[in-house]
Amino acid sequence: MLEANKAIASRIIQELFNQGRLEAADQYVSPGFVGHDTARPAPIIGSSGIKEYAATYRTAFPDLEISISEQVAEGDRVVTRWEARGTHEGELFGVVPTGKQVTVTGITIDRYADGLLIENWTSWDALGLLMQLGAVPDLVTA
Amino acid sequence: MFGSMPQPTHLPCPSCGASVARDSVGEHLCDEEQRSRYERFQARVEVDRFDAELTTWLDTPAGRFEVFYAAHRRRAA
Repeated sequence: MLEANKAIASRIIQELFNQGRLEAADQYVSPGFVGHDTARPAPIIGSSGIKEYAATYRTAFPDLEISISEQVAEGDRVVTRWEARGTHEGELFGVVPTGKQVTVTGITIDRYADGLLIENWTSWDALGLLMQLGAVPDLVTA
Repeated sequence: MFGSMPQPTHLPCPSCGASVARDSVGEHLCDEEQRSRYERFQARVEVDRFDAELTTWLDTPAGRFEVFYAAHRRRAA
């Protein structure tokens, strides 16, 4: 089960986010899914919510590529440490497209039941993204 | 743990927009194709505005005459 859950976590990243196959959510994500993202004030609800979530980032970064740096599974949980790269060609968080390439890292903890993702918690470097886009001053070099 | 300012691990190169790891900024060399793509992207609003203004102008009497005269000169050449 541990390896099966890790495989689903990898497929969600690969198919939904990297390839933009939003319909993959119907195969891997529970209709009752709840997602928690530190960069979002409200939870992501349902497989339709995660499709919208993925579409938001793929619109902002059409060449989005998330690579898995490390993955650990225990019980019904899978922890994935990831790195995302992409070129900012669509509006995100009100920031108009800059054409800049960005790299951010994050960690997602998934919870699975019966082969479906039912809940997750993601913490990622949203401030770093905004600094790379120039929307927030780089506090080190500013 | 909270003693340092948050900072991204990567920053975009100001010349070509490529994502460069902060600890290897000095070693980065711009790829010419990437730089050209980045500069075109930066200029896209200006280019779009120019295209729109040109399209509008080409539909004015002066613009139409210039199109006619250019075609005339091309035929005469």
